Amino acid sequence: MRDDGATTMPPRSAPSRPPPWEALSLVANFLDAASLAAASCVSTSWHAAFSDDHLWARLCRCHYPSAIGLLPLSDSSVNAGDRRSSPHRGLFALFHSAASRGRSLPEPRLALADVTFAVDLFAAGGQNMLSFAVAACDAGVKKAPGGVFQFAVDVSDRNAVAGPGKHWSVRWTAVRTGLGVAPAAIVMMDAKLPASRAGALGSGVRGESWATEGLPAPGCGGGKLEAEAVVEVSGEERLVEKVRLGVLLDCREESFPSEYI
Amino acid sequence: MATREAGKKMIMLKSPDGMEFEVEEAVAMESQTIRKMIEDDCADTAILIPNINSKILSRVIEYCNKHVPTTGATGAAASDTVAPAALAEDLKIWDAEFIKVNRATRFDLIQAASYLNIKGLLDLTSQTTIDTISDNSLEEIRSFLSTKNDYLPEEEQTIRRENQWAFQ
Repeated sequence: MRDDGATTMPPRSAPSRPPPWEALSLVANFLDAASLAAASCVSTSWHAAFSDDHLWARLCRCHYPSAIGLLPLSDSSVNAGDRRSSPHRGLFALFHSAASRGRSLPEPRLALADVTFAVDLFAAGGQNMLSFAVAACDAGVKKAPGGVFQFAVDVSDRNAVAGPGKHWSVRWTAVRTGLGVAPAAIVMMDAKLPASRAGALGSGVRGESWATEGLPAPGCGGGKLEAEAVVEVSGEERLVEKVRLGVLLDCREESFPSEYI
Repeated sequence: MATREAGKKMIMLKSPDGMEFEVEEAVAMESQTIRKMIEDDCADTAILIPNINSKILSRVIEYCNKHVPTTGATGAAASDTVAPAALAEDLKIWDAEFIKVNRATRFDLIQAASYLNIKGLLDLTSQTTIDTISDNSLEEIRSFLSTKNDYLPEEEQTIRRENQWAFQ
């Protein structure tokens, strides 16, 4: 019990006075996400102090930068009765749940039309290199030869530079964003990419890094599915030009339900 | 309070309850808010600090006096012989003693530190509350911080469900 109040001062001034709202909202800036979420359940005034959207926007930017791109899609479905919820907190909770559930979710079934892909690339030091969110229907998703689907996102205008580290990491989250359905998110892959060899070559040379990670089987044929991420870099500056993502069939060709992503 | 020394510019800080505190400019400038006023030439020789009563303001000045960098201070011969690590250790002990105040004072200090923009003081005064919130269950937080659960039952259920992930 650390917060026992009067240690040196006599408890003459009403020791049971709760903390002022203003002070709580100042302390809120220092709290981690879980403490912030828990604290908002303490009372209605605590909810007001700890649910400010800018607090959650900061946490989203820090932990799930690509989630920010989903904001316009998520506001209608995450509210809590009378007490308006922070849209960023809803997003944070969605991505946090997907990340902590990891890849243990069996048989995810989502229709591509309703899905937005959120992608975060992190440099070796953990700093955010590039993030984007793209609706599957806008991403030019096409059926891949020998796979389920693939798409590429041109990011050459983003000036994202792949750092000098040995590994980058990629987190690819699929989020169901259709109207009238509860938002749901699954992590498609969360993997390390070996850094491209392009850096060792002369300028103007392209290089790419790729990583794959097995997906849970869709339960309709026994084929093995893999999520694949490819990062294309070019030049001495190692500018990230394109990110290609796809779900590939690992062993045998068979028809897969298109609603599986 | 601060003793007047030759060559040191003094500033008068006034609390809304009419008390005046004469402090060295360098000490007052531990507050980024006051520093900005001085640098922008908005400050006369006296600055009124609104919303912070004399009891709290005197504690804040005490903190700034202790934390003002001693480098370049004339007549600081005593500290020349002390290693920086020992000084930092000394400050830590001083801080721990400084923050032994009742809860109401601590929350007043948090607000004063925020208004005056004194980062070190804000960190110091917030830490106890951060620990209380991070380390305890909801019931414990409510009891330690004398806060009543004023949610309607169904309201609480919704809020709890929404934030369920934080309790796992």
